[in-house]
Amino acid sequence: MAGFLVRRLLALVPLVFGITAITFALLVLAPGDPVLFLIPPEQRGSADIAQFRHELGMDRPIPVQYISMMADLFTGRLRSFGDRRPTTRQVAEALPTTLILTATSLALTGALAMPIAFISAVRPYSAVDHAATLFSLLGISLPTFWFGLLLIFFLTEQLGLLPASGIRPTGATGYSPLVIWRFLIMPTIVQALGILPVLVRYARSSLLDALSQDYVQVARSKGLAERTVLLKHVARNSLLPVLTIMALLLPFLLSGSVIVESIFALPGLGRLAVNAALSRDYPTVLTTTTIAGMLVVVSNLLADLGYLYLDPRIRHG
Amino acid sequence: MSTAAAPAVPARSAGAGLRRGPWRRFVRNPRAIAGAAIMLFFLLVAAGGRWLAPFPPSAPHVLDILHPPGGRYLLGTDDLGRDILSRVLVASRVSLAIGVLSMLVSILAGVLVGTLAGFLGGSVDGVLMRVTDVVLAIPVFFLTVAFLALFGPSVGRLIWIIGLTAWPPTARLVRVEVLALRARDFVTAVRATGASNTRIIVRHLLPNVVPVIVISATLRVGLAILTEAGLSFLGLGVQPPQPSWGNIIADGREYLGVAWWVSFFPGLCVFLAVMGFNLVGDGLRDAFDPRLQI
Amino acid sequence: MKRRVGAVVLAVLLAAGVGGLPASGQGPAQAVIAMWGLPIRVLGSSEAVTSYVSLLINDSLTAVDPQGNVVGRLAAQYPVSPDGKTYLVTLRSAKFSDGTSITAQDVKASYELYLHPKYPTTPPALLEIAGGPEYKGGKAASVSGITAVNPRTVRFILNRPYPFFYEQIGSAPILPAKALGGIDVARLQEAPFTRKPIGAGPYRLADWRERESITFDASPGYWGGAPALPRVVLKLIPEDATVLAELRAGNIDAGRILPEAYRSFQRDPQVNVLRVPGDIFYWFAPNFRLPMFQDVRVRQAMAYAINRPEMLRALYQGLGTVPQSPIHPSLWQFDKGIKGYTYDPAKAKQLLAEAGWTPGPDGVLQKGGQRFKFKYGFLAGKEYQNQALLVQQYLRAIGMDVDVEAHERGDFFGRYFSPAGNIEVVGIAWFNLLFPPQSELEDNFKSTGSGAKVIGYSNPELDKLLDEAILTRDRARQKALYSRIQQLIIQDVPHVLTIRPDVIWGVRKRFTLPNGIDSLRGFFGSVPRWAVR
Repeated sequence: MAGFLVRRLLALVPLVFGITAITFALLVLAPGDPVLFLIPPEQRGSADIAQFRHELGMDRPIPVQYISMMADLFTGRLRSFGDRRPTTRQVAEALPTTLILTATSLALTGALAMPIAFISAVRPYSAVDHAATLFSLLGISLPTFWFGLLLIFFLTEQLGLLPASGIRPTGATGYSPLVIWRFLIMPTIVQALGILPVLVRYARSSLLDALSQDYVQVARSKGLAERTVLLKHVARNSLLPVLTIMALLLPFLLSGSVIVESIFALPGLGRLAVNAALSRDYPTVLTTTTIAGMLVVVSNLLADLGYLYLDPRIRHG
Repeated sequence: MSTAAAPAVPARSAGAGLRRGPWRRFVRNPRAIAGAAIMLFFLLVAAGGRWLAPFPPSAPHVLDILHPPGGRYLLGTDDLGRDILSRVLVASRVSLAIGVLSMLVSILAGVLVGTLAGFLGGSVDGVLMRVTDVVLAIPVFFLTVAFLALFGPSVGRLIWIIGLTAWPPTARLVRVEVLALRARDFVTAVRATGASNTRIIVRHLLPNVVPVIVISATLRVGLAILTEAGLSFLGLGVQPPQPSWGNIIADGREYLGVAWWVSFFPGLCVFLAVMGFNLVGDGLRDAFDPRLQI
Repeated sequence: MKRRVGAVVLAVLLAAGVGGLPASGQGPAQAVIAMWGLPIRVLGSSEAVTSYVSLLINDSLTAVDPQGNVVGRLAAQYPVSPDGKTYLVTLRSAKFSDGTSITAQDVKASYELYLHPKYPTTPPALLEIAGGPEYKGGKAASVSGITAVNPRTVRFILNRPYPFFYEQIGSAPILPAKALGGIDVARLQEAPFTRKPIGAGPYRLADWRERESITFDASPGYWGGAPALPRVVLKLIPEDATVLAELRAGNIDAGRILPEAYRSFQRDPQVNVLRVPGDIFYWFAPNFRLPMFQDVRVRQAMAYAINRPEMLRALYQGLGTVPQSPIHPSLWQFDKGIKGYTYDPAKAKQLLAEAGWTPGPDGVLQKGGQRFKFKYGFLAGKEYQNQALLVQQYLRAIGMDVDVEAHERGDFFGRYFSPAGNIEVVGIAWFNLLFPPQSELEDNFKSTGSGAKVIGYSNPELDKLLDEAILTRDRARQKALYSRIQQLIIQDVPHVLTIRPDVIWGVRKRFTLPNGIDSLRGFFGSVPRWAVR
């Protein structure tokens, strides 16, 4: 178990290196001069470009820039080109919103996916199953950002039920759960809908798998009520793979957060990343991509650990 | 960037390895037929939209700003008085072209990686699959956004980046198929005749993987259209004033409360077009092998 | 800035939702002003919001009143020697917000900070001081042209008789030498002083909540007397819709209003609506290296082709002005009598015909087999794009085959910074209040200016007038020269000016604002003179 953990943690190193190296390569290869870009138009005449470049450390050799940027990143000394604050602080402010949204989305998806999958797995190829399949198909075809706009149109513009923007930044007075929940309902629905079809499909096949297992037949033959069989044996045993797949859905949710946070003006990691990229804020681009990559890696690790813990076959084997 | 060739792709390749059974099953599946009809409709619109459009897509009509649907403007106008119908029609070409062409990129890359990994096995397989895992694990959308923002969005770059970040699932599928085929008797027999690896792959392996490729390709188109629309919505896709479905939706976002039609219709197009491709892909899978995990 | 109509509807709904809060009547003697962004720091930043905050907490030696006259602030007397090169400033008795007195040493230390080789945004006027350029270049240990004669007197020696010195040092606040001593200018961004400033202005910083609000309290020792409002809070509200809702509900006292919400706020009995000409105006310019744009009649035709009132109506609900000259109307250099171009497509076509351009079979202008075809490039973004599309339509109407092309930011500025950028026609906007007009005019219209070089524009007469203006010390004569400069620019059309959208402020009626607020900067500058009814 300890060996497994160490191996997994060591496997993170090349991944993190890969992500940061790819991002840094993008920054270096990108056309145009970020320094010129940072000088506001009204300062065209007076700004000292060489001075700016020096201040940002961009007059050094590229490998030196990479190493010092990475060292600065992990020690919290890397500062955003934009507001000159440490990028780790920007991320620390953005992350709670994204993580809360991810948690609520996963919870909602799980709560919806399991019953749907259960019903369609118990009666495969029935009307309900077909409806669920069709619903999944519609779900994966739906542009989530457009769906988000439809929600805003009905729930905000027409009915005035929920606010579409205006959440306070993390740490500000007004960022308490009592206040922010109203801002998170629509984003949660949009995020959940994006991954719901995937989870339903997976849970259904996992349930079908479990249904065909010997122990189910045995349980049935023992004369247990069908209800008991389904709940105690099938559902419980197929829950494990479903739980782990939920952790693996994190990359989807993170990708989704880029768009969802931009629609609902949420101050999260996705929006930070987009704004940084659009304003050529190299340090922040590097940091957000690295953090997103690490989040995925850590969630994979958690999924593995969860599997290890929950599945007796692996634990004892 | 002609989309004229697009309709031929699924039909012709599917025809190559087709037995009577799957085709029968496909045409008897009403959902698949509905999907094919939708798909065909959008491909025709993409080809002819330019001539169907009642107005030039970017022409402002300042006296008819945010005109509701009806009258001269069947689907209404936007905040500059541009005709939504004309814009949606003209946009269909670029939106579908990006969908189809980036699908080609991702399928080519996926088939290449999958075949090499499956056929050569050993350390090549190990390395290629590790790379595949890494690409699957990183949140590629962050990198896509960074790439497009830094290099500047263009239709060509969109096609490449969407294609090159979407190949891992195809590679995995193809690899599994090739692995299974490699062990079969007929490959061993061909190899005994002294045929080269390239020849074995091209003449004997790939034709048998065609169903998987076609199904995967159809579903990829839908995903690629969605990705393009999302990127355009963020301002990182097709650049205005050239209309694309995604950037028209983005245009209308500010006017949601007073002019729902600006965002609604292009979004509906994305939804329907993607659904068309997905229904066809689903139908193909059911026709060939319902248990394929695509 | 075109923003959301939808936001208006949302705002109304939100306002209805929070309507139960105390919305009217007498509030505390403080003003909460909604800001679209807050400064990151208050020193060495070029952001507009930083300069607005600086107006509250800082003071300078001199400033310019709305009539364009130089007035003393921290300077009680400020004579100029007859040769125009020696400026002698006697300080009035004034205190910083920490209670210490302002001395000549503080002036010297402040100006040397702004002239420091590593200071990012040196005000151009300070480079007129003898030894200033050398110090900025790292070639001198101090600025030879600044002398603290005694604690109350500073002498500036200039390199040349520069008439706008007192006018322009208004953007260089005086800071305490003691606090500046510890600043490492190379790492200015991280210096604590930039977040805990001490200034000589009417307010002092009381509380700074990151990304939330900045609170200012009246500075007790302010030389100009305590401001009527003991407290001002700048509150960050990035979403326009929220600003509208909060203003309606009375949770904030002032905020910027979208053009789309203008009319509904005019009917609000609790809110005064204030329209000021924006700092930003829009224009497009042809590349003079292309032969077809070298004929002044062609350029005039383009200027006549644009329906500016219609553009304002279509894009900004009509809230804005048609710029008659490239100088901001709030500046004294602006010639109130000047007339720009009106919408007259017939006249445009006539001018084009005189220049030899006549419609060909496809309706596009032709001359000697050449079609009048060009690309109009602009910075990707909705405001520029909407204007580009309207301009394209107007120019098409007089027979020009115009393609519009969006450039992503890096690409656009890359091109626009370089004469080799190969633009055909560029559509852009310019800020013309943050800079004194002289440097902006030189940059855009003098043949040596970087903007003029990009479009290949050169007009020897204009060059001469601009040189003269800077060396003339008589105000009436300066005004006449600037009038002539503006006329020449209008007549020669190096830029086709389009529109200047207004900035609209809503302020709760319990405040009385001073008269004569005619710019965004003026709005923030007026805050210390606000009174509670």
